[in-house]
Amino acid sequence: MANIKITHTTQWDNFHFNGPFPLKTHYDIDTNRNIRTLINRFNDSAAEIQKLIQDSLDCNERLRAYGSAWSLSNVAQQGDRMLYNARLNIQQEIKDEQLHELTPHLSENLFFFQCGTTVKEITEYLFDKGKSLKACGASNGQTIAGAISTGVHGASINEGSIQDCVVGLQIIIGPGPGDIVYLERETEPALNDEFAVSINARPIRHDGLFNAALVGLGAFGIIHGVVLEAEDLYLLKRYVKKIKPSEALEIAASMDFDNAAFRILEETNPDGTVTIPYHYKLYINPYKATEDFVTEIIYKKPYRSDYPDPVPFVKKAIFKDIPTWVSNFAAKHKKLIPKILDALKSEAFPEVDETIEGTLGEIFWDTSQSSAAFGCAFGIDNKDSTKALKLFIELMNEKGPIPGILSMRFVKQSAATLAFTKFPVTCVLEVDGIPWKANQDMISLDDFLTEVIKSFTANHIGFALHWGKNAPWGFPGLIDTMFGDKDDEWKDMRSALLTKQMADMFSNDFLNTIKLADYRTQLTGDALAARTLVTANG
Amino acid sequence: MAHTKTPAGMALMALAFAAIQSCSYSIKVANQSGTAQPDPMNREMGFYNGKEVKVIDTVVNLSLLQNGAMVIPDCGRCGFHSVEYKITFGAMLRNTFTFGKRKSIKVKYVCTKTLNQ
Repeated sequence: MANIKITHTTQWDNFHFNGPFPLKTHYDIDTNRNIRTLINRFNDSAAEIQKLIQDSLDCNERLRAYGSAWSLSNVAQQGDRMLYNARLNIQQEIKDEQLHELTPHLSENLFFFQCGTTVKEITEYLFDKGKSLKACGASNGQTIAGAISTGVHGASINEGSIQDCVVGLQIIIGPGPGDIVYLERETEPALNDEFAVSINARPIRHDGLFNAALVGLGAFGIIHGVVLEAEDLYLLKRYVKKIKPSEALEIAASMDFDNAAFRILEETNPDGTVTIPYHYKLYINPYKATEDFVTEIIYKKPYRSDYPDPVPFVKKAIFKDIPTWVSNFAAKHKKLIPKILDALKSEAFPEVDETIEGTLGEIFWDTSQSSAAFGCAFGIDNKDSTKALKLFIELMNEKGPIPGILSMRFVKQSAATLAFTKFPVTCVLEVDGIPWKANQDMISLDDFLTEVIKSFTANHIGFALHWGKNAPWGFPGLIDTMFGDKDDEWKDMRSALLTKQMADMFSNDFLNTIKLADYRTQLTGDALAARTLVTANG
Repeated sequence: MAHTKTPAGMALMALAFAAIQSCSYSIKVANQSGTAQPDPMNREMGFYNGKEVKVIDTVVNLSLLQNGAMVIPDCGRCGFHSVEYKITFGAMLRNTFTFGKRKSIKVKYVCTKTLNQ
């Protein structure tokens, strides 16, 4: 029987100290390592989670699973019961005999992870097999279930977000014996029915349902197992250069590296063409936006072992009180914010002209949280990036200043229904900084971001917001502004998978605020077909 | 002791206090690989946020024939994720004036998260 530690409490906070949020009961589950066979150990954890769901139903309380709590929004929070699952870290290879007969995947590239396995654990496990994730975020502490549920994106121009490597999901949708399902795409099956049976799950193959559940915001049930596609181990070579704003933004809007004025000599071919980078990120000081942008450009290279260790041998830390002091000072003397940010530039921006090489896990290594933080990310079409940046900087100067710096990353479109990386090439325009207390002279973060939303809407810039970051989620009509009809598709699929009772069990304040919690009893078309698959043998 | 209340005396005392404080320091040594054993209820700013932290704070007495001590905590087969040792002014004085026979040990450590492979 899996071990569960129960703590009765009144509040809970996330990793970035954006709370505290109310909470009645906290469950901390770990696998039972006395069970020798990994798959039996895995199934035992699922059975215990089902018992928790039943108990929550009996007590008329909601239950929500969470992992590393890295989301800055309250997407992971739920006031009744929260289940911490980051100790559930079973990792397994997939064998040839477990493949679906129509799969396009190779067994050597597929791996099965329990929900609480962190990105770092996955990276290290895959490294030992000579494999790598295709993409990851800027650091590595998220659990796999949390990362995909909120659309952790990284900055891979050609590979997309972490959820785009997922080919199978085991989800617990209720307390009953038929309430564990294994989802895949119908058009891209990965593993056979025997595999699903081995994890006590009913296989369901449906593209729309899978794509909706992928970035599911914890609302499709408790994701307990994830099948990921990896690739052969590779190296990333990172350059940090200063680029003129006009040149950097021209690349941003076109992704045309071949004809760009800026180029890196080592990455230029003899015929004059250039290697297309894996990653392109601009760091921007909004209060000195005419200065050259510090730009991080990363290229993918074949793996070799003889490269210098890119992780710094000594890492220096700032006094923990400094960010708090800066925040308090900034709230009282906002005119000095640009000067403070300029002074702290070396802490926030990478060192220019530094070139390092390493694996994905080494380049995007650990971070530790030295203070409370805010972060907001707008996903916009890269063709709108110049215009959007101009508007954002204008607002930061007119309505602010606020203590944050800007950056832009570029990510391939995701297939997930509610992925915020929804454009063919999504420019992730981010502002990160230290939270402050609003006063009569200083705008609040929510009010500032509301102004950005209004400005983007007025200027016809389509956008979607990162689910795991700060935003004025209650902005009227926000979900429709961001996703048009896609949110209806998502709600239909959620209603196809879950009973009304279970949909309520897995809802929370965040879903209510963003208007995603409502349940559809009448389904038609694709959603009805999905429900038929779900209820068959259920 | 009246002279300590003069500005010069107070400055001297502050200087002495700062000197003593700077004699105390700690260093963290962390493994580049591995994930820390988590503690979801531990919310503290900085390195230990979300990690399960264990503390050793003791004084070891040595006999005439002994010249060192080793603490042996159990971190399981995955080993240590990180260790922080602290040296204080008091601990240095204790060590000096007992000719190394009483040693203060102040260590914070985090184990590596147990694998499930």
